[in-house]
Amino acid sequence: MSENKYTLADAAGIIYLDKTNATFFREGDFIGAELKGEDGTCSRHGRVWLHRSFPFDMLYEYISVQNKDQEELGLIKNVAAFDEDQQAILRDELERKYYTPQIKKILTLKETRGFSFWKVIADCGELSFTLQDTSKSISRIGADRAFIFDICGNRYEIKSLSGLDKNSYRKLELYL
Amino acid sequence: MAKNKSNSPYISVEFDLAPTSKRERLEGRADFYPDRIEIYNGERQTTVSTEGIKRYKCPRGVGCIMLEAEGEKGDILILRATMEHSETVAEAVKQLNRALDTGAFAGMDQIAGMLCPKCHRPFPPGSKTCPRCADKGKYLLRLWKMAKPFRKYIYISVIIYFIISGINLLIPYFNRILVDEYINSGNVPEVAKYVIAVAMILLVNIVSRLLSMVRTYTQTIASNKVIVRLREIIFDKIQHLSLARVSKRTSGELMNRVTEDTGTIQRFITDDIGALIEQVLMLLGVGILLFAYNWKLALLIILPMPLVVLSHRLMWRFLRARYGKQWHLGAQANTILHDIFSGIRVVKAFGTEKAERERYDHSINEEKKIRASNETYFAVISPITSFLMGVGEFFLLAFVGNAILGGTMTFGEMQQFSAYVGLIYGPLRWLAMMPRRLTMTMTSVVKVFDVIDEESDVADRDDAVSADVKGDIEIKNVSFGYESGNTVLHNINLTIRPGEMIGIVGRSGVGKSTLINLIMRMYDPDDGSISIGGTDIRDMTQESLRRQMGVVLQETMLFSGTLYNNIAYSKPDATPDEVITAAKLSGVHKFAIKLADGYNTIIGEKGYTLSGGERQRVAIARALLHDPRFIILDEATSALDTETEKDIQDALQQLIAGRTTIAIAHRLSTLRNATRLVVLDRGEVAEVGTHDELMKKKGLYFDLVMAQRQMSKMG
Repeated sequence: MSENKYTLADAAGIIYLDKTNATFFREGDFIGAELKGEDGTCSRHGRVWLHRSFPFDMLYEYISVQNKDQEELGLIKNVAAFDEDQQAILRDELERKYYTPQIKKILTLKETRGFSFWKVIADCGELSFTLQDTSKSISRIGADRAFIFDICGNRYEIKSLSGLDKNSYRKLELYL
Repeated sequence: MAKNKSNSPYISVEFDLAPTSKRERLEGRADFYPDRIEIYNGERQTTVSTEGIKRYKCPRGVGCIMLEAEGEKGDILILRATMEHSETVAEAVKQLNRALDTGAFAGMDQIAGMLCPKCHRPFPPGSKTCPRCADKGKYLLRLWKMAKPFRKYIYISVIIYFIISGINLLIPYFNRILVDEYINSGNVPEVAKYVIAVAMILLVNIVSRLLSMVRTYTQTIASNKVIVRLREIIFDKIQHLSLARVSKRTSGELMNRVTEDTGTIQRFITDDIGALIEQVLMLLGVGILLFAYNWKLALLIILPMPLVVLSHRLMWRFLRARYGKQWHLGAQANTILHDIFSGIRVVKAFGTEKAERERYDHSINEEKKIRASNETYFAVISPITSFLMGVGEFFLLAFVGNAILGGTMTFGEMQQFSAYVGLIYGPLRWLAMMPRRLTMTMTSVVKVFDVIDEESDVADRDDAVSADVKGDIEIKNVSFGYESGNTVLHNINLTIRPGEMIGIVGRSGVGKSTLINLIMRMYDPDDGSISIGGTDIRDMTQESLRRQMGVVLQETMLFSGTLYNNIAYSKPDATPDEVITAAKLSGVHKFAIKLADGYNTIIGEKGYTLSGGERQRVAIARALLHDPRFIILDEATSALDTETEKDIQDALQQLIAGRTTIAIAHRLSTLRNATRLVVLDRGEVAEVGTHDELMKKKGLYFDLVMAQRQMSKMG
């Protein structure tokens, strides 16, 4: 029996986008894209939507480019593979969609009746938020990162737990 | 659309993020006028014309929400905000689109209380109680009111507490008499008086124990009655909440409310309220006696008390979070265990036993570490607080020792005084722990009342009628979204005549089941109305509406119990004849008579496992027994193989004969008997007609049929 040379990747039919087959541009308040198919035909999309496949691990890799019906037009393996001006457009759009303040310092953390009330200093300034069931609202990603989800649906990131000052870490430690 | 310049906006929406990727917060406001949108963001004002705007929408990002307008030249970003504003933005979008549809620019209804008016923090999802500002007293008062019918038991136990406390204070007094008059007096004791003193001590002890028994009995009655009442109220409330409200909470969370939280409240009523009264009475009684006896000595004993109470509080504040973590890690380990055991076939199939073992090991080791650390902390802290607690006794020893040596105090007096000192430490220790107990109870009380106070968004109106519904089902201009602003169904219009079988088809996620949920009034439409026989279903009681509906879903929920009870679930007073008739029509009878225990066979989690086809037959039997006017089939046969589906189809025909039927099916052949087919696309009715009409039209339905034919050829 001859070996099947048709790989899973072939079967999946993923269209990877890079600077050879995709150009992104700003169109009004949003971004659009011009995509070149395998047969060389170009298609222009007035607006495209970007979606992180791995929003916790790979912020600028495996970015799904979608149309308004959330159908994938292609997948960007790595934003860094684009020219700088293109990278800026893509990064800006992703940063706008994924708003995750980074916590630098925990000022106060008080827990009462199943809720905890936080006051923190984040990269965007001083913030206050509330968590319900504190331990469950904190997800540890790897050994040194954590995401916090508040009762409204906002999320916050602690990029480096070991990088927090002692006081902040002590407040957080028991919920990790 | 009116284009006249207006001076006041009809809708204003606040936001707190820049429209760009800028991370810093930027407070601002968007004012909507009929002809323009003015956006202020602290730095500048931008005006956008509403000319050509077709629709507003509010796509959610991650941690933020946008308000966008769909214009003729493309989308326009109006604002971007954090999720605190999500409900306001969604509501605004709804109102803006309504204004676009109707041309009436009414002001936006106030979205009632999304933020606590006191601390301006958001309420938890689905709740209108601020966890920070909830008034403890108010809740305790409500609990007390709820206990009204059972208060006599509480009063009795309080009186008994009072008596027991008084009696307990007598014991040291009799002890002193015993020591001073008979043991240490140096005189030859009178045996009769000695026996009387001993008998008194014995009697006091017996009476105290007997009263304790009566007290425990009355308290248990009171707490059980309160808890049964509370559980009934919560259970009833949860059952009457809309599907949307119930879905916001996990079943585990709801079960916790009914069992765990009410259990905590029960413990508070049974143990803590009584103990609190007893301890306070004891503290007061012993305190007065000590001060009356020797105020200087009493002061010496009381002096270290604030320190003791403080050290206790500090210890628990420190340990509470640590024990919380221990509990959390324990629960995590249990979850892993549950995952592995329930998925043991997958684990074995992929040979991941070692990896799972390591995952579990890691989890229990983490728990072990915190447990060991907690035990160490407790072992170190506990003796220190106990020592502090006993410091007063050292003062006492020094003082009374001196007094005895000086002849100013007898041994009996010392014994009595020491006993009182011992009695005063107990209540103090207990009261030091009281805030912690109260916090735990209040957490549960607040959560319980949170459910009780939740308003159902699909509630029966006061003047709702309970009547048999018949006639056309008329769906008029219905729009609906599970999250306001994100519409699933848009402007649906459809009339279903009595006896018709309507097949609803369309791609996954197009809103087929949503439409059925609306007809069953699991949710209320955001716009438009659904009426049956000319009566809006919101004007009928839900009970009378659903009494007329029979449902067969894709997955049939079987309750633990007999096969008979599962069929009779839809009509508990059904006679065996009726049950067997329904079973025969649905094909249940065929397999029931082969089971050793027939209709008495226990099914469900711990009983006989029914196949997919058998389960669906039970569901059809249930619906037949219910004898409804309307039948809803939501993918009733899609989980079955073609062979079984054919068998079930016959049973279904028995069910739907002569009744108005609405059926959803992916397998279009299932709908071959439908009077009309309704094709949904992107939340709208795209096509309506018979199979033949739609095939001729060569539209969406035609494409779906062709695609399925292709698939079956491939199969």
